[in-house]
Amino acid sequence: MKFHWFVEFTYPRLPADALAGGGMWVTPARRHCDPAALARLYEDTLAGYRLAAQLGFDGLVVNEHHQYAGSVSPSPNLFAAVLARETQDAAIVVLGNSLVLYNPPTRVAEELAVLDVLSGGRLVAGFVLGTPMDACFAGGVAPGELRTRWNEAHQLIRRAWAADEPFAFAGAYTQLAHVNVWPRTVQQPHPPIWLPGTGSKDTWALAAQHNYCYCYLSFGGTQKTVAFLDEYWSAVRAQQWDDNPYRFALAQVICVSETDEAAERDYADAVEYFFGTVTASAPMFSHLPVTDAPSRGAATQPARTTPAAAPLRYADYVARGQVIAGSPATVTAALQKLARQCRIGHLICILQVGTLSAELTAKNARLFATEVMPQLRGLHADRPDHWTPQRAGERR
Amino acid sequence: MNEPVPHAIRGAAAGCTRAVYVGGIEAVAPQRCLQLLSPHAWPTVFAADVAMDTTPGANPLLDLLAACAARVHAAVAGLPARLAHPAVTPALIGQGFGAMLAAELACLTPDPAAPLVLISPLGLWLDAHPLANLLALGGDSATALLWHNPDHPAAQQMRAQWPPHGLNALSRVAWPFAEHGLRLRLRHLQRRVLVIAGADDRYTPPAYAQAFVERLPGAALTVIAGCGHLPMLERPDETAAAIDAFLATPPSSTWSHS
Repeated sequence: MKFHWFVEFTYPRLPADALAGGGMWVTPARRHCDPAALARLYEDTLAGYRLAAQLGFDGLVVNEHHQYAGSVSPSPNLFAAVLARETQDAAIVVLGNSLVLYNPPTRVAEELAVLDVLSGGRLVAGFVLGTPMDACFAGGVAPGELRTRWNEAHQLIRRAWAADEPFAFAGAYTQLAHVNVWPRTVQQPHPPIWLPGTGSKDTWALAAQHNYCYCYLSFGGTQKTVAFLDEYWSAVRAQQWDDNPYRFALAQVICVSETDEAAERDYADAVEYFFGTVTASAPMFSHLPVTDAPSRGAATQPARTTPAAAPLRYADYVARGQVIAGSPATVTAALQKLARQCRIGHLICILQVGTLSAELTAKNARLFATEVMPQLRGLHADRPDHWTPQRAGERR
Repeated sequence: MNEPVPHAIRGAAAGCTRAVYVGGIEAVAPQRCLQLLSPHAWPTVFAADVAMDTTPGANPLLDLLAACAARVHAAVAGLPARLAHPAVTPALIGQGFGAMLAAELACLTPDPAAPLVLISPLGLWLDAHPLANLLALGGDSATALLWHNPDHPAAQQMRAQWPPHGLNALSRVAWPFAEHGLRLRLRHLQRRVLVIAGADDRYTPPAYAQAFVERLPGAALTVIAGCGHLPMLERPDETAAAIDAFLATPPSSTWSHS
């Protein structure tokens, strides 16, 4: 089993009036953003990535959001470039670039190729459709074009990486007489590709179709994960692929302390803020016309969190499996069960939970890496991992 | 080559003209308003319907216009023979997104004698009056935006049935706003034009109707009091009367703003 360090670059606590309307998404006025506070956040977060690499995490995951105070990371490639130079072993997992927001999409092929060269072939390339808040509300892409634009951009990038000679590309959205992306990626024919999603069947079908690793980035908890996974693996089998666990990555909030009680003391505030505010869906974004299918009004994109009648507390999030927390023994047992049940090859660990302090993040990371990770490392050891760069971890 | 339109559609039974109603997202024909104008069944085309019949492509507006033109042609061809006067360009009465399409089609087919009625038209952008992203709203917000009186029975029906079908497809030309440079093409529009606005339209305030009129020399403007974005539903009698009076006026008349 592989372990990856993933952080949302959450802006330190915003005043309540900044959250009216869209919550942390799209609408918090920029007047609330203090560059000095963000500089500290970036410094602490990058230090966390470096610590994770030292502790033996297999990959360092960065992602892309726009106009989102919950993760001030509009270009993950910038942070990936920093990490490529500040670390030597871990995979650099860009999860991912929102293809519909790059014009021409060859920009993605170029930048990811640079990252692959810069990191010495440690890049995992992620292609994300983007949340509606990112792609449609902040990016202005029409909901009715999301899939077709993504499909075309994806095709162009794959062709650009495969071609050693210039070619012409005449798509609906991009027309280029000379596609000739420099540099050539270190990993040939291309870096491993992961496809993040929040539970859309269309997305995991794409992952299965192209033999990509599907990354479930929902924060909805283990109950939701278990419920939909059968369908994902059915899609994999339908493509005649095997059931290799490394085809699947799960993002999971994990909190480890000396005891279960200590975990609550250490992490309850951050967990409640993370699920109650940072990742919560805002009503104003719930009316996106995602489909014209006959089942009018039925959401094809599940909410990032299930609305509750009353604000949930730490114990609720633990009970729902949205956070796996407790002593090393408690966390190990829960993750062992989940990894087997869901056939998880890649565990994307969220240990810096939203606004969790740098000190507690480091404590969480050290306890997880020293007490939990070794207990789980051997899971799926008999299966080959084709979705992690071969050069990552070579020096360990 | 085109015969002048004799007079109002109300006289259609006497064989005067052909007309098509081009609706927006409402998907329900404004029956009372249309019946006041003509006792005959109206050919109707709805923007959202047409959008659902187009494939995502490089030029969504052009694709939508081509499909809309085909629908209008088919609708007119289906009229009873006594109404189907092949030498007369059909009158277009468009509302909202439908008015935007009607204006675009009219730019492509100049005919100074043919009537064009634009009701609460979309297609322009005014910095002083930024448009809401209608397609991203829920039923309560949309109804409050579109109606002067959200308690109107038809408003309540709209709220209950929101979202209308076809919004995903229509988003290709309407997300986040329906602005595709029509302002640059309006100088090619050669029609007799009436623009109708609701005085209390919170979605496209009357400044938008005024902007169309300013770009269309000779165009008339009627502003209906106590009315939101959907005059033919909220004020059908006043809307029909304005259209009727406009159509009954000889083409050579110079229209003044009312």
